[in-house]
Amino acid sequence: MKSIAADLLRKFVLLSPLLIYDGSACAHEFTEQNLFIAYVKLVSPQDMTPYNEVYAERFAPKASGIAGEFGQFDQKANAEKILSRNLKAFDLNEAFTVTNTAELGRYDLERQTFEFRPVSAATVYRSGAGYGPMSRIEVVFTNTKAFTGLAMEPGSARTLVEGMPSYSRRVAIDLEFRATSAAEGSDRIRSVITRIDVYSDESRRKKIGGLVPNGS
Amino acid sequence: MPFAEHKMMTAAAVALALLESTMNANAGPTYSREQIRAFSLADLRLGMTQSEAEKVLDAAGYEGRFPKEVEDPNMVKPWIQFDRAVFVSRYTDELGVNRIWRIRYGQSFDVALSIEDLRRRVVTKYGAPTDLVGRSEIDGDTYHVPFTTEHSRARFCDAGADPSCWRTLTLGTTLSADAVQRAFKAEILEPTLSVEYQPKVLYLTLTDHGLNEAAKSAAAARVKVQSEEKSRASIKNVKMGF
Repeated sequence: MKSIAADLLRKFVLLSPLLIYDGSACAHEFTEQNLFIAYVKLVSPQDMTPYNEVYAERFAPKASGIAGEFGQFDQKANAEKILSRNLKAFDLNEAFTVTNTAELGRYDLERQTFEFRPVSAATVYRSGAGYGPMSRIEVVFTNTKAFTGLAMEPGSARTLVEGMPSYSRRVAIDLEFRATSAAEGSDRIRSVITRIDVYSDESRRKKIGGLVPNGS
Repeated sequence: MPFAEHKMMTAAAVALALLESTMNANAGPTYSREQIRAFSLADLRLGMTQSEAEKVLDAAGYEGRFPKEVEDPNMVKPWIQFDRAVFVSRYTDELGVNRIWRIRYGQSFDVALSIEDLRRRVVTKYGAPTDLVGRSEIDGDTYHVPFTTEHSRARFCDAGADPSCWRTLTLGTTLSADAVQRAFKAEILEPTLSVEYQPKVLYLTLTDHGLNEAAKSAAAARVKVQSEEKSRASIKNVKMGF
């Protein structure tokens, strides 16, 4: 009984990466693995060896503990296939979503807009904090200038500010971006922001606005 | 020449020779002051007004703003894009208009590029550099007006406290040490373009200390005139008791 459950669990673990990238219309989650796959897809390397090695080491399902050294052999053999399938299924046109917080500035009554700068040209998001190859893939944004100011009616703005603590105007944001290019060896993805949704609460139930690039 | 002084001069000459041997300076074409002032860097030019520069930087997609007051050159905040930055130093002219005397442009690259390729791109735009300086890790070129003295050696003398150092620069010339020193002080005010090459970063700096110094001198002269006028005005009301 125990061995059947372990076997089922192993099969699920091996299949799970394939289930994640089934070509659905969901936005990509900002994870180390997704960033790695996007980076490899953008780079389209001639030689996949170093990428397969990193994938086997860091992201491929681990079978050790269930089947010992035989599982590890399977793991290496499977990693290349899994990465190849994931690369095919990964849609670069699909946006990534990253969650963060940002501080609202003063409200300009004339322009009916909060000073708001959730991202700047210096903003960098990293996929991780490790030290191995491709363990800190950076995401930089090429169109941050378009995302500034949060428009709001004076009445709503007043209610919002009065509901916030006096020492902070922190809001939650969902930043949506599309990976556009990467150079091999750079560990950096250039991206464009497609929208930023702003919420007054961390649980993201109260949306207070959205920023989209100028003209869209 | 006293022996001690001779010894000091020899030591300075040896130090300068060592310095030179590490810098591999090659004299190329020189440029006139007007030619260098006509160089554009990130579409900015020396002497351009702040408002013109603002428009250029804004249109090019840079994020930033100029503080109201002209800041210390070491405290300049950059205008940035995700892979490049422009540092603009300003001075205030006689009419109270802020203008540019220094533009520093930096660009980082995702992957290491060939320094020779980078240099080719720079030379295509600005022409051949006057000095080509190659060092172990950082390469740098400069574009400048004709110099009457070797600036890398003169800088060494200028930074040191040994007055005999300047005399080593007169060897083989009819100039006096004072003349060499004066020429150097005047020449460092001339506009220059310098380029620093690194495989993943490129910096170009267009500087005209002359513009800034002239503005500072003019401002100081204005303050002096105002102060003298004030002094003359106040003396009129003083009743003398002698």
